[in-house]
Amino acid sequence: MNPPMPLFRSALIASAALLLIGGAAADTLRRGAVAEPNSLDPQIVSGASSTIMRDLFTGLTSYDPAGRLIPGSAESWEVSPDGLTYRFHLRENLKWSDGSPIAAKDFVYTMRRLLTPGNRTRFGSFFYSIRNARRIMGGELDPAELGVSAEDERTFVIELQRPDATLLEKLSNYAAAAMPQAIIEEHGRRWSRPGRVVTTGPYRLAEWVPQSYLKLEKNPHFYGAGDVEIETVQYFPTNNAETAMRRFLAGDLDFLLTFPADRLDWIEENLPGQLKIWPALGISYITFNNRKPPFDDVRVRRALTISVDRQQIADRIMVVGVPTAHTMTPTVVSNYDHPVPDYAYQPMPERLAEARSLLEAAGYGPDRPLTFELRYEPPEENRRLAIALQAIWREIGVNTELLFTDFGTLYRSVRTGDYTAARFTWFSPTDSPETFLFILESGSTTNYSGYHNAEFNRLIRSAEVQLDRDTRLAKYREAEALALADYPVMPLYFMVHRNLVAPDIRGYTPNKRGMTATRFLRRVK
Amino acid sequence: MLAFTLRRFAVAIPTLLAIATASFFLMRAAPGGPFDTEADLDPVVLESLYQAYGLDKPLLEQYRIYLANVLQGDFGPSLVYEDFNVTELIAIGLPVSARLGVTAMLVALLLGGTCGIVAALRHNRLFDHATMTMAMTGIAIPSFVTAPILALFFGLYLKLLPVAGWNGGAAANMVLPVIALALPQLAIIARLMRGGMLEVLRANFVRTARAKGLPERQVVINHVLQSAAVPLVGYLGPALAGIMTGSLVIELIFDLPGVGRYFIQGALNRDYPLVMGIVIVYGTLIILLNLLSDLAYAALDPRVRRTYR
Repeated sequence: MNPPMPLFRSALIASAALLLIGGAAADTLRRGAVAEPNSLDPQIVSGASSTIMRDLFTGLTSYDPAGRLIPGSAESWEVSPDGLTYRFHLRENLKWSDGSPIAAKDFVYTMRRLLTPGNRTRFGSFFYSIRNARRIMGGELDPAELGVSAEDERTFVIELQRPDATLLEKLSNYAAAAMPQAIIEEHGRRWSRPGRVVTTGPYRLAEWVPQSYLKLEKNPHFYGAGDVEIETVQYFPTNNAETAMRRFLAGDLDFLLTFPADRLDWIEENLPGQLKIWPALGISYITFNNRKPPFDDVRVRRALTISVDRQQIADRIMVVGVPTAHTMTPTVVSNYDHPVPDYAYQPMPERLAEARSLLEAAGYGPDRPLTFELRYEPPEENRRLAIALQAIWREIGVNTELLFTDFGTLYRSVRTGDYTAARFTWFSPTDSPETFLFILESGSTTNYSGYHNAEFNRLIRSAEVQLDRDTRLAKYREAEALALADYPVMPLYFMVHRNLVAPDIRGYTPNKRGMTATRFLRRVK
Repeated sequence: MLAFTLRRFAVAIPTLLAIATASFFLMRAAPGGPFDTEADLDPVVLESLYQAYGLDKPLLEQYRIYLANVLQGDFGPSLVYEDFNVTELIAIGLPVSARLGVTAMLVALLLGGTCGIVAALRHNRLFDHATMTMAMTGIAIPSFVTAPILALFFGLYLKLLPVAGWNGGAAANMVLPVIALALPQLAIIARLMRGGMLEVLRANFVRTARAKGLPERQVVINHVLQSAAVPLVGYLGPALAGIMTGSLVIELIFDLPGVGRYFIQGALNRDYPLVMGIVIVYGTLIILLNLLSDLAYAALDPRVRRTYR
């Protein structure tokens, strides 16, 4: 076991040094309101810390400031006509942050490690389209059977089981960045600590004191190092948005990834130029447990779904300018024609009248009112939402009992099907309908409603292998329209990114992916 | 006295074992698991995570392994901070919380003690009423109200002090959290000290001391203080243990990397080893400080000394 004191002592010394330099040095960026990473191992860290991880690790592909796909560690690639083979050409002189060279075999190691069970890796299921991936993760095959290979020093080849239109986006993830086999094998579980970890992104790790801060400094061996202006970036993780907000107002932080929703009016009035709100690839929805009463009855699900005025929720409850949702796939998903259901265009009085008669037909009425439990989790704005839904549904004679739990408890209950209705959020890693529709697919990890529709499943399976974009999206649209007609879940609103950016920070382009890579930011004097 | 101390240590071991056992099974009885906050994990991935951390074994087996490791001083890996062991996290967090706690306690003792003494000596006069009103207010206003107000006033409005952050324990960063932590303690200490003083001031031995012509100053310093501090000493032991192991509210509001935040993060994310490690450390501290305060009792009160044999 390592003596823990040196870590603490070095942190003290470092912070003392920082105090001398001062917080607002021109080439230092101080960022807050990020989640504390559970690990700095790119294949173990959970999705909540992606901003930090993308500063440290670059995948085969990457994103530009506007969130468009650009080359990353690979400078170019070719896809075979059948869409099953991807050949990546790595950049010349690609290096780790310690200056040693990165070769194609490092990516072979990366993908095998990611898909080997027992490595505590989280994102394996992202890459199930790679040949044999699922069976290796299930322990049936040896990791050497994975469809990845190094053709030569600089050519990395991926062979797929089926075409995967979102593969290039997924390969931008840090989980698919080159992993240093020698260092991982030498240090095991602690390889990703300061002093040991080597990175492939624009920054390398200088210090990390959990619950306090991470200090990243520019990686001179990064292929794009010449264009990186911010020399040092510090992250101050906290789960207290109010504190982060105060630090931002005091000039102690330059960039917040979120802020308390109830401060919006004040911010709009006092910090107009610093507020950035942008639609995200995410949805907030209610999942109904379709497996048991009362939500095994489609009339009940439809009644509750059509009785809620989304615009009212967006304007009066959520306040941060969220777009209303009548479909699962957000309106910002590219090239997709959203199958908006009919009720969205119906006037509210008509919808309420229909909801009442649907409930009556399902056997509910004044002497036998529909009563069910709605679960929700922090933050505070979800409480407002739950109370609003309760009031709206009371109008059609429904008793909603609210149950507030922490996220772990909520998630466990929906995953095991031990719930009636719950509010949930989903963010997609790709600009595509697919992960939003997985929520409705039988056997999918995210299908908490227990909705089962064989025709829907068939359409999804046939959509994901289509090479032609428009054909693929048309099939997804057909599938989504089919499922929405059964009201298995209730879309409420689409998520937004909400950032606060200090006025002297430039290079920030709001985008739906929420990419705010430090490498593109700069500070004006 | 030595026999008494040894006896207390002997009792401490089964006490700690009971604490560890209770917290182990209570943690496991809570719904949800350590990786449940990562909503979209594939079941295969989840299963391999449980295997990697030995959470797939029968509960009693896990309990046996855990106890065996704890006896060797190993609290195991954290499930929330997967790159760290629980021992390392406590070693990072405890010095922060302890430093804040001890400083706050010293401030509270110094100011609260003085206020209490003076209030008792000026019994029923203006100073007494003023201090006690302030003390009541201090106890009544929770720190989650005082802390943000302090941060807003001294940090954002006057721009004198940092609004939050630890900064390696820089003095400027400690001022506001220490005040926020000390205020309620200060109020309690002032009341305890005043109460103790008032009781002793009426005692026969004080009347005797005055009767034999000792100046009031000597009466107070030599005779009253020692006896009047007895109730305070009983309070200080557990209070110090509590304040040293971190105030969650203060640590959250001021963004401080103390052990209280680890505790709540651990509890929310079902980080079983982290929560249990902190519980055991906290239990040990309470036992130790209680023992210390009992020993201090004995030093102050000869009657108590006799019963400790």
